[in-house]
Amino acid sequence: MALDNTLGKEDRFSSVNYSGDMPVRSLDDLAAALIQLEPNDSSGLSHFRESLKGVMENGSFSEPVKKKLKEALGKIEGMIEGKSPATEAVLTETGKLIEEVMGKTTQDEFAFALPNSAPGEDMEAFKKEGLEYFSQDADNSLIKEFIIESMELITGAEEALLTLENDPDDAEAIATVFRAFHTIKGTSAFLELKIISELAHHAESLFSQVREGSIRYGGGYAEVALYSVDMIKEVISSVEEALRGKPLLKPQGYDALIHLLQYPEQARVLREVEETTPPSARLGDILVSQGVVKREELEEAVEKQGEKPLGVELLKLKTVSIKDVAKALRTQQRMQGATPGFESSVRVRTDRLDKLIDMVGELVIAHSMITQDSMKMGEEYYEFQQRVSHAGKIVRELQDLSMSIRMVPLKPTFQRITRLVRDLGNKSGKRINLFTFGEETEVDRNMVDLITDPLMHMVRNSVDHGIELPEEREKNGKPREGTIKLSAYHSAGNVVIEIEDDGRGLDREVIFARARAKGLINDTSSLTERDILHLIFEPGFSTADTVTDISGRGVGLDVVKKNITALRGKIELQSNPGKGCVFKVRAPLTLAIIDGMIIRVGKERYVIPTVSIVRALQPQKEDLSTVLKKGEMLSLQGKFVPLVRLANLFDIEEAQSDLTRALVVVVEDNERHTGIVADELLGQQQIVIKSLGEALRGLRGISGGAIMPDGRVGLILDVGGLVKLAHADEAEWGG
Amino acid sequence: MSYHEGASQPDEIKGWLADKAGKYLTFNLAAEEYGIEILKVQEIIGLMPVTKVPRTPHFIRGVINLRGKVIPVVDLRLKFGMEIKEDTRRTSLVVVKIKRLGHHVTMGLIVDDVYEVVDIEAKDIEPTPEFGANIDTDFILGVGKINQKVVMLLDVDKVLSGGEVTLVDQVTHIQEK
Repeated sequence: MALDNTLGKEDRFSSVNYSGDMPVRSLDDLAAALIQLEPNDSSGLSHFRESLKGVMENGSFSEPVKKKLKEALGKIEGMIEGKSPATEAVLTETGKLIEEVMGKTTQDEFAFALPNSAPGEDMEAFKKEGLEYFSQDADNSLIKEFIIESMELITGAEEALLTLENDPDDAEAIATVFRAFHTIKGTSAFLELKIISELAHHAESLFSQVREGSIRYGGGYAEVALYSVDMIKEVISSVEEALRGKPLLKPQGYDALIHLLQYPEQARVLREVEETTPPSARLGDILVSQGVVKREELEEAVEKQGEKPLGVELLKLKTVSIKDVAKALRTQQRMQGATPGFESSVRVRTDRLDKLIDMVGELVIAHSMITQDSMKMGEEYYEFQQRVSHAGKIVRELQDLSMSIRMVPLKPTFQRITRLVRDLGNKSGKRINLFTFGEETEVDRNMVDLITDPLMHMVRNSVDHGIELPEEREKNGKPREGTIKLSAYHSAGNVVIEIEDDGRGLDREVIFARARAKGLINDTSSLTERDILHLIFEPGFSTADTVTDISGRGVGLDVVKKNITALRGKIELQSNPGKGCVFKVRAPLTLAIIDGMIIRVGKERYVIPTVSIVRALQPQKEDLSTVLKKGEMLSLQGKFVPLVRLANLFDIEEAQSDLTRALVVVVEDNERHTGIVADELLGQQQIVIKSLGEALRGLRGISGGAIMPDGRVGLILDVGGLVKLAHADEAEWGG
Repeated sequence: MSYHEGASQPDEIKGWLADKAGKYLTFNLAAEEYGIEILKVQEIIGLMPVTKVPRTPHFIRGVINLRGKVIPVVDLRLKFGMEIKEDTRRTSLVVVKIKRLGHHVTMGLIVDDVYEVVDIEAKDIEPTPEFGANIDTDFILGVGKINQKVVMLLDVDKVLSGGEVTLVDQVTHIQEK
């Protein structure tokens, strides 16, 4: 259709004419609106007339164009006022007029609008600014798909590159990287994202050389490869921004990198190539161990090997049969565990997933109600009860399954840390081996995001403050290379992550002195070993004598502790001065479920998170006192605990007013205790939290909602807020 | 804007009313009949136990669990300043999906009784009469006539705006995030 062609032209045109000219865009829009218009849609016609008028008023057009537009307006108005029959034919005529006008504007009007600069020059100017890298008529949804897909590929490639660090001959890893670059190149070229396809193309050719064995991965090549991966990531994220209308620019260093990729030999000067210890599972070794070939013969072959793979050379020397080599290669693959078995997977939108989990939760509740009813029905319904209990098994399994869908392995987090350690080590001149264990340990999807930052920070801290420089380590009789051990495992419904380094450890005396100097402590007698070590989590504490690029950006371990606490997690610390230290983070597997104590006040029920409950008791008369006839206090082991009456705060009727007949639940927040007055404890339960919004904090005293076992909504008390209220400013709360 | 120029007055109103024509769900509230655009209605359910939320405006009865989603429930009688009435078997919850500050919010409206879905044509819709400052008609789209009956057509998006907006938002936000 002719109109469509014109639209395409318009799009490109508007990308060049970037000053936001209304007429072009609107003409474009007008045409689009016209296509959708129905002759009998009177309000649509009025709208169209309005926008057409707007275009005519706002745009500066040449006389002939104006005339055509007026003619079009006349036709539309004729239809609205009923002077001419409102038919498809009239609309088509109007369409033709607008089409003509659009043709005119592209060909003639453009020169007219920009009399001083030829279109070519203008193009040139925008090329410099990088606008040409983003095609305006690109399909946004395709690009979004591309972004997701490429990010996955890049993450895979990054992981493979790190494998290559340790084993530069891992063919599977090389192939993975190659495939990633290759696929990205293909897709980006299709989407006309030249800036990505060019980069991916050069990276791909580098890796095709690695794959063919004409260059060996490592040293400078490794730097260039990792740099390329970073660069592609950067460009992809700018593409994402470009979707929101920002111009797509070449990132800094792009051209330099392209140059390096074209002449990767030059990258060698970046860093001294270190001799890597050969991995044990080399083809030659396997052949020797299988008794197929003698060590001397092997060495001879290696000498002659040149650029060809060892197996080929051995075949040439006729020392082995092709069958033997193939067998050895298979053994090698097995040893590396490199069976490329990809688990098949489907991408699912997270909102659908959340909905599924919601529904399963509801199913569990609905089913438990049926179970209760069936229990009441008595003996003669035995078969029915059997079926209900059978359905119950299925429901429970479904629930387990739905919870497991949310769980993802910690692997991506560990990968980021691996990369971080590598980069930090290079930057600081420290040599560090990172060992990871249990990267397949699974935690809730939301949890991964929240726990990654604190972990990264702690690892940074270990590299920067823990591990010593190689010289210092040697002097202290340690190996030159420092070791960091990162491990994760499940324990008692929690996930535990340990970061262990063999650095200098935490010096009790230094911490003590520093904390004193900063005024963090004054009373020294009662501090235990643990208390002193935990001082490093205090705000304003930093033991590093110099602020380095790595850590010490003014963000201390206090933030780490705060973040972990926010996840309802705990952090522990063991130190062995001179030998190293261990950070141990313990966090719940999911944020979606908490243990809660259900209390009753009047007819209302509320949930108190069990973690914040210290104890519950029935107060004795002699322990109660009032302040100014208003505030009530409970004396507990010699300390005064202020009381909060939910009945007054939340206007609850029929609540127990006699304190000695009520219960006090003592809760803790920030080491301050407060008593919440309840009528009754209804029991403890695992509770599914319904995620809370920012605005909820405005609802004082309530931190969120939860679905209770009977299907009703329960409200979770905001312990922090209630404690604050009890301790200070009732005025702040208002009436 | 040049839209009004050249157009005769009745035409303009005709266009405006044409937008409002369509299917409405009608319900009873204190012996008056109201209508909500059917496209905004997600479902109609019987009244279920409502959990009171403290420190919210009086017309917010509380929150309910709508199949795993927590949504706020507004008592329309209280919202419109009508007298409080005991819930009956006919009392229903109309779950609507409204647009607020650019995102969709699901909430329940408590009404006395749900009637039917009617098709109201443009010719049967009159602009809302002015009652002066005492009666706020902002959230009424217009007045529809069906078989000699008068139906107030509610603009659901606007029903919950006004002075209490912030607090309503707080409750609805809980659900949204």
